[in-house]
Amino acid sequence: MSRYLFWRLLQAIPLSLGVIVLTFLLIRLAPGDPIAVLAGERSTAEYQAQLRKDLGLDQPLPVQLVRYLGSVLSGNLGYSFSLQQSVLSLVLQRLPATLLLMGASLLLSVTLGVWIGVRTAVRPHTLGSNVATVGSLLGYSLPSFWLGQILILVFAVWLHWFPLVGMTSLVRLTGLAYWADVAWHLVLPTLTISAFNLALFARLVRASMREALEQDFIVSARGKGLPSRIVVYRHALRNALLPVVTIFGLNLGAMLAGFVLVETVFGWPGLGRLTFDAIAARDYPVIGGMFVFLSEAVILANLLTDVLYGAIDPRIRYA
Amino acid sequence: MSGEARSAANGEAVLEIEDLRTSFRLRRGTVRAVDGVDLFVRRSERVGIVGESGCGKSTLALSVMRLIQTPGASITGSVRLGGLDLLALAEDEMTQVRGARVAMVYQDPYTFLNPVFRVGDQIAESLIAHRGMSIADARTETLALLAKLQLPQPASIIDAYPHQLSGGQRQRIVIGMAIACRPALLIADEPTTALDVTVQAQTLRLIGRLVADLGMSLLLISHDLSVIAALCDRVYVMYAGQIVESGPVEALYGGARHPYTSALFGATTTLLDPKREFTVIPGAPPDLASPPSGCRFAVRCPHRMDRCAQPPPPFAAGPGWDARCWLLDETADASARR
Repeated sequence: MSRYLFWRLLQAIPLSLGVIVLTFLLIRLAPGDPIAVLAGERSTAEYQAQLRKDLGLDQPLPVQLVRYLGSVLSGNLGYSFSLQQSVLSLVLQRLPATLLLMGASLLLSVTLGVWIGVRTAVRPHTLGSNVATVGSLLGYSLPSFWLGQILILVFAVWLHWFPLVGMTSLVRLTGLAYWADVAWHLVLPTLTISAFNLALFARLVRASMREALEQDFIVSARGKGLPSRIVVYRHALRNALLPVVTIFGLNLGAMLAGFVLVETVFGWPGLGRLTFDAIAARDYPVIGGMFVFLSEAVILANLLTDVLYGAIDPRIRYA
Repeated sequence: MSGEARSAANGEAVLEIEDLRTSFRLRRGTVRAVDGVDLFVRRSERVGIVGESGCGKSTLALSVMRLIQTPGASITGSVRLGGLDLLALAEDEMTQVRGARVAMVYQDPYTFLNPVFRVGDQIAESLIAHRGMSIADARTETLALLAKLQLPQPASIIDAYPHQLSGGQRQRIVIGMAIACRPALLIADEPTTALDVTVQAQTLRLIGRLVADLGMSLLLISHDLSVIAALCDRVYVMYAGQIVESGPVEALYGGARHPYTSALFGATTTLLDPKREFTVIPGAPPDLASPPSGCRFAVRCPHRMDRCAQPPPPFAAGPGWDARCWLLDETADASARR
């Protein structure tokens, strides 16, 4: 297992470097001149040239790339033009809000999704199963920015059950009251993000559970006289989780991308909102920094997925 | 029910099956995989069921265990295990019977073991479920069992995963899962078919010894007459969902009375007698969705007569020996000659 882990870690290094190079090139490919935005439209040509020189943007591309690589590797993701702060400190400021939202929606979508998936696989032709199937199809197909706005309209604007936007109320709160306030703000964005993932997991788990329940070792588990609860949740689910874990890892990247829209709709002060604002302001260092940061997060997530995969399936661990 | 089955019912029968019918509703019709089977197994008796693939012998075993999962399957008749009517039990009552009083060894040790659990745990969970053992006690008991199964180095095998073991070792684990709680009846469905020839004899001997040591009864299902001969006292020959002949192994092997049984013997080769030619049974078994109304073997039978359009009842061929064939009907023979 440790050998396997070592090799996976080693593989992650060139991947990470590649991502950084790609980020650099992508930003240079983007239309629009950052100097024009930074200096303002009415600035003089001399000022723009000076700025270009100061920022090193007059150097040939390879030189810029090497400088960029060097600074990223030393932890310097750049300096935000629009927010006048280092990108790294911006990312670290916004990270907790995003992690909170992500944790809440993963908890909700994985636990509920797995449970619904198992139930509908075990009893496929009941009313509850059919409702869950239609519901998951809906959750799977509704775009999150639209769903978010509808939730805001119904539960915040009409019913006043939940706040409109933000992560905290304007009043200063401390201790338990503060966290209760955050939780209250958390409900709608969590539901919005979870709808897709919940549906995804419910459908995935149902499909792989139905397959697992058809296996011969389920017959022998029942033949041992194990109660169906153990047959389903121990023998079948453990096998059914393998494909689910794979998709989970692959989907984390897409999920992070979805945060850009959902955080914007809900005014959630996280990384997604930061990215959106940076794109609007053409704040290239922030966009680039976010790119690198999110890519590394995805690489890390995939690494964790592989480790998890090995933990579930011994055949992979010892291969 | 024959007179002998009734006498067995009075005392020593561990398993008594009467008029068992298992059918599956498919698009092309209702398939009667098991169609009116009577069968019994006495205490400590070793009984075989032989027949070609698709004759319903595995379905019969799974029906006794009530392990048929196919939606729309129906099982009727009566299956009594030590006086307990299995088909009348609620599912949670049946859960307590499976593994504890009747257990099964399956055909393929590669697919019937769960790939993600240690083999020791797969044996121990049965002990925990039925005997309420603690995890530590179950582990100790499992270790002892692995030694009894003649597995080398039980202490390391107990923590192995199925893919780390050979086919023969896996099948011993499957056997261990079945006998862990010392059931009164062990059902073995083609236990050696998926194994290498070299391991087959070893595995059969092991099953025979365990059955004797633990005082279990054995119901052994096989398509292979030599496997049945090696292990069983009595044999039932199954064809197209029905029992066509049953009796003591020596009697049937000495001279089968049903043409299908004779044909089965004719279709086997033996290493001891390589010069003997084997014969092929012409034709194919009937479609069980629409079987012929009379004798089901008639279309393939070299002795076919007019009477075969009627279903033959069991005729006594000897002590404890029945065959469902009109050839055994002496009165009919006489009337035909007249």
